[in-house]
Amino acid sequence: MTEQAKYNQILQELKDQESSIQALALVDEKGKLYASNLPEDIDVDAVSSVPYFAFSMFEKELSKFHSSHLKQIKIQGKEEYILLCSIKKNFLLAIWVATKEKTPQLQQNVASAISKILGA
Amino acid sequence: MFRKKEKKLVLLVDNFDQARDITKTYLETSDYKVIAVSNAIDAMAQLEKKLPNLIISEIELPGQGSISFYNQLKTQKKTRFIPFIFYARKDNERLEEGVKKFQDIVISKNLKWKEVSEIIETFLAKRAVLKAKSFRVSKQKASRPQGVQSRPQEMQPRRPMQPSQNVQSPTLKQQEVTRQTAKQGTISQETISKVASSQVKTQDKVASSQVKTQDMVKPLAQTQKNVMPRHLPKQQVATKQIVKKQVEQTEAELEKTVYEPKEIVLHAPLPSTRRKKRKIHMEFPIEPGESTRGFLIPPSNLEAELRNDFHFSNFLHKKYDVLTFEPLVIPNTGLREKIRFEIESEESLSDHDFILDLEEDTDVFVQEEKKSEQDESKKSHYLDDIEDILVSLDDEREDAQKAIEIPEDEQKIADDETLDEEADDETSDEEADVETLDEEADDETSDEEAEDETSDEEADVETSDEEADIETSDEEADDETLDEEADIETSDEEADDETLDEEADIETLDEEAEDETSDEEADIETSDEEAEDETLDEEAEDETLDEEATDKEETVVKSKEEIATEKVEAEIATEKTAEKETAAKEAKEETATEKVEKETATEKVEKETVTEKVEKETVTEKTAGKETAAKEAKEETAEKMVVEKVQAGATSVASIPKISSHSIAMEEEEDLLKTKLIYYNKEEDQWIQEMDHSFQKQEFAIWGYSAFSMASLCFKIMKMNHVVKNIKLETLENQIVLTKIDEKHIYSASVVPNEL
Repeated sequence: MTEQAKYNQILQELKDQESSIQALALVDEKGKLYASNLPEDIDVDAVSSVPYFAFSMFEKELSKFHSSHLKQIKIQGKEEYILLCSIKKNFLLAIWVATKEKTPQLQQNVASAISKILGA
Repeated sequence: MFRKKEKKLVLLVDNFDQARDITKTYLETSDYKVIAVSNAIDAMAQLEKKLPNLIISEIELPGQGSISFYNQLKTQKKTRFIPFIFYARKDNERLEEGVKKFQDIVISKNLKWKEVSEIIETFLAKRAVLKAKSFRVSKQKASRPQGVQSRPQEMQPRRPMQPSQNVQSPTLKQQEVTRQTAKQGTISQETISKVASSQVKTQDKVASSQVKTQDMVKPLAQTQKNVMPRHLPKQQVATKQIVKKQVEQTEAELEKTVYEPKEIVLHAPLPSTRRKKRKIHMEFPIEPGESTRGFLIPPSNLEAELRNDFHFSNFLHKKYDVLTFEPLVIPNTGLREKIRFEIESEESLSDHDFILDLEEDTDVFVQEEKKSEQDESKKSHYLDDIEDILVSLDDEREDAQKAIEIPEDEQKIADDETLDEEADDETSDEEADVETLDEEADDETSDEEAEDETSDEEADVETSDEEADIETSDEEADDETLDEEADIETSDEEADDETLDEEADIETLDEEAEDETSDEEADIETSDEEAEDETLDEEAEDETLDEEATDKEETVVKSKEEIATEKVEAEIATEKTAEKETAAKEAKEETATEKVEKETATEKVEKETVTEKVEKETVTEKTAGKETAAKEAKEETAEKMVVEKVQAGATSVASIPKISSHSIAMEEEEDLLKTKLIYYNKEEDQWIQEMDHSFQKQEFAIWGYSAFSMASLCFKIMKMNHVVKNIKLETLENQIVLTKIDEKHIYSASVVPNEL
């Protein structure tokens, strides 16, 4: 099994575990889309570039507020939120969730997925 | 005297590293000492070293598995009574039932940590009470003398028990436990009241039993002395042994009923009945349209701790009324004036998308934004300046081209004129050509005529030959007439006949000549020849008729002269045609020269138009250059203004201390933007409030703006609802929350260290 297939499988498992997860994308530090589980009508190139830019921007700006090493960003909407998780500064896991609140179970599932990605 | 508070030891068993770390940090913040391991084997090893107050285990453990680990614990005396919590993802009723036998519980991972911590506290308090009860029972058992304690009352008289501390110790311990837990401040009020009521009950019971025992102390002592001999009889010893066995059996049964370790058999999980989601309080409850003005914070961390419910979320629930949390509001107008002060568009900031270049600093970003806005403003200025024509720097060329288009029209007209002239020339040429063609045609006709004439001449020559023949014949006829000289009339008639015959012969000769010549020309020739012949014949007839064949020589001479004259005429005609041809050639040459002259004229016209164009272009370029220079000067002055403002802000920021936590507050007041920086100083252990840090404010404003724009862009990509409510950033040290208040008031930020 290739590396990309492994990542895709991990993302698929995470999506199966959490029905509220709408889409997943694993992006590397250069903005390349390594693996994804996206709906058909979504622009793949935009998904690969924008979250990475957003994360980089936040990380850069945070350094001015005496904070470093951004771990996670949660962009909260009215009925949904986007979670951008840093994976050892090499990868960025973008998760689109269609619920208001982040549950510990989701957090643990995401954490386990991240550990799997690191181990893959 | 209060005893020093001891942290409870928790053994955490979880194979997921990050989840284990998160739970560990949560437990540590809730004042527990945590030993975290990843599997059951390590957990057993830790249990060998030190027994914890609580074990929390993930349900899905690798290797041995959590259920077998649990069963192993419950079969060992040492670890049987340790409170155990399963941490499961889904509700598992079978597991809950199985665990309930040992007074343990299962916690769902769907719950918030606050709920989880409350459950753990109540669970531990409950277990503490149970432990105290069991301890009292066991002590009571232990306090009884062996062989007597289980003897039936009927068989043996009651003996008063010695008043000792053993009886009171369980309740004291229980009180101590409850006191400790109350001191720690981690138990909820309900649990404390429950524990207190149970303590009262147990105290009552103990007191009553003490009174009873005190009453019975003396008689029991007497009976002990009197009844219990040193050497009992054999029967009594046997009964004693039987009773002892029975007591042991009953004790064992009792123990079994309470704490018998039975293995939990887990079947396939029943369909999950998910709990309805509780309406948990909002973590960041600043709703759109709601100001953060009313939120309050405690004056110090110490006071917050004394209140026993210190948490950052409490800031947002108006629990404190000591220091007002001034908030976090930037109106759009302020942004426009101070950061992008040349913006005149009324687009809301949330709808305005932009692309951020990450490699550039925020100052550069601001300048770029400003430039783009200035470009827009340039467009609007042009509207007034240049006759309602929208011109930007990029559009100037187009306008110049438009300006050039007017002479082009003129050029078009000129071109049209030249074209007309050319057309006229062409027509004249055509006419000339037609004329020449006509002339040529005339020439041709004249040539034809000349040819006809030549042919006629030839024909005449032939006819002259024939006439010569005729003459000879006539001479013969004359000889005959001279010879006969009789009948003149008949001779005339005969002469007529002869002439007629001769004419007929001439006609046949002419026909032969016609056959020799070309087709059409031949027809014309024949017609002409016929006509001429006819005329000649007629003349000849006339001559013959007039002279009556007497002066034959004269006629021949005449005919010869006529032929000569005809020849001369033909020569003249050929000369005429030659002249005509030359005239036509000359006409053609003239038309060609006229054409050349016309072409040169059009070229001149074109050159003139081109030069006019070039002149106009140079004029427009000059005007455009002047305008751009004026704009650049304006831009430079604007940039200088910005730089001065930023520098003025930066000087005020220089004295900002390094802080562990801060919240930036902004609001507009009488055209002056005031920033209130509220932060928690860790060294001084207090919240500090400072004013007027305009640079921080600007920086924050830019950051917040860009952050929300990026966030909305992320939402747009995923085709989600575009309203971004808040952005939470988690770092190793802090948690930063950017909250959108409404469209007018943009955002607020709170920075809190993870320790809090």
